[in-house]
Amino acid sequence: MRNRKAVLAEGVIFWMIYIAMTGVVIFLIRAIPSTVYSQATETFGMENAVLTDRVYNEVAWESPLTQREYIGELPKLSDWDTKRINSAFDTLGAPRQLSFKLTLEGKEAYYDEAFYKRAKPLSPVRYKSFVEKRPVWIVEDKKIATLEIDQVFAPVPPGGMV
Amino acid sequence: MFSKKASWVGLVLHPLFETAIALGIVLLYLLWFIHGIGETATYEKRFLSTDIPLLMDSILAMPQKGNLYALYNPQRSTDFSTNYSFSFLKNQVIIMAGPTDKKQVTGYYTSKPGIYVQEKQFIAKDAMIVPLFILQGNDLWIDNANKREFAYNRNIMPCSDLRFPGTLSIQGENAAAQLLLGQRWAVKSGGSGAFSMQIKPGQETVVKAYFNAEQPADQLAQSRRIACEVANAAVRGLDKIGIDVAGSAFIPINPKHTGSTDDDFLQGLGVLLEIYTPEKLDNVQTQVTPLALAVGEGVQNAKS
Repeated sequence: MRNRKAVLAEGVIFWMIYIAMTGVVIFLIRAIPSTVYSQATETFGMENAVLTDRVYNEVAWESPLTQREYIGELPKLSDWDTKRINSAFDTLGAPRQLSFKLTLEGKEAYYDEAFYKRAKPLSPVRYKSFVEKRPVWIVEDKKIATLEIDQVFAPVPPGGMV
Repeated sequence: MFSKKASWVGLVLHPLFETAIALGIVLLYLLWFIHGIGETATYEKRFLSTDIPLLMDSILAMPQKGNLYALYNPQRSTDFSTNYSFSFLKNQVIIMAGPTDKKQVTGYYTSKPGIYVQEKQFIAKDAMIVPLFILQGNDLWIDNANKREFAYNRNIMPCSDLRFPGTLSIQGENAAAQLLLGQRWAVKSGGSGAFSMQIKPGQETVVKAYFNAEQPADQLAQSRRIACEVANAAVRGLDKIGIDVAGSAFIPINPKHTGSTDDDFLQGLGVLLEIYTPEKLDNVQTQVTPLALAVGEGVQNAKS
């Protein structure tokens, strides 16, 4: 017959593991459906594509004769400035925090630079980050430059704040 | 004391039994969860609160000049369980199931400077609410397709607010009579520009006009402004008398490059305006006269 203390210790160890495992199982029961559900409705990739297009559409010039907009073209490199990206978004008072860093031939332009510099090191864990490169035709220089669009934003779940 | 065989049975059956119970609980929870999604409007509200702001973001991503008409109608089928209420505010869209839903879901879009997004609320009552988005110039209007408040005409173009500096008037006492007869209406206006217009009864292209402002600095912009106002007035005039306009356009032209036009007086850069309708205007009194009057209003608008 086993020692009474040994039986007690065995029971304590058993229940400690049992209760811990029960906690894990309860957590998984709660978390797995929610995770699957939220992943099915996640649209970050699409949001990124739409917002990146919006930035790219600002890199354009308008023909004075036809009033046609030539998207993805700049008459000269010096036409590149922060005003272009600032005219693409108005996030004042919006719960969705959004920032961009655009780099064209070494020249940088930011939308909400303070948020970008705070959030970029914390992506992709706390914030979402997407980087995309697109061609820009510089008319004066007759060459194709590469525009790097780096987007960092705080995901907002439907119905909730960040 | 258990026998050796009994302890092995216990060792196998006991965990199996507990695992089965745990899986049963998980299964029941999943079934309850799925049932909840199906029974309540939560999933649909989340879908709408994601999809509608994405559509608005896409509309706002368009190059600024242009008209767009987007009917958001996934509810056309009977797949959606509820008639939803919508609140469109700055940078957010609130979805509610019915008129008094306390569990509203909010989705977010991002505004664009220079584009005014109309704030609007639609409360679900009887008919299904179908959001309708209309981008016209610098305005994004939101309406309910099943109960329209905003009269949209896709042929109305956003005009610049450039003011025509010179005098611009319909000259000649018999100008209106010429219009009624379908003759060419060529007017030199105060030394600041010229235009030639013809309303053509019995033809499909009902208005054809050349505008040629004589301001050297922004000749084309001035011409375009007049053409735009006249085109919009003509489109409204045709709409009033129930004639559909298939399309209207003003095209910059330079007679030096295009050769002779049917308006020889046009010198330098100008704009050609054409309004096309599949219907032929064959009644002078009920069709051509109202159109001529509308065009006259357009000329006045260009001056203001």
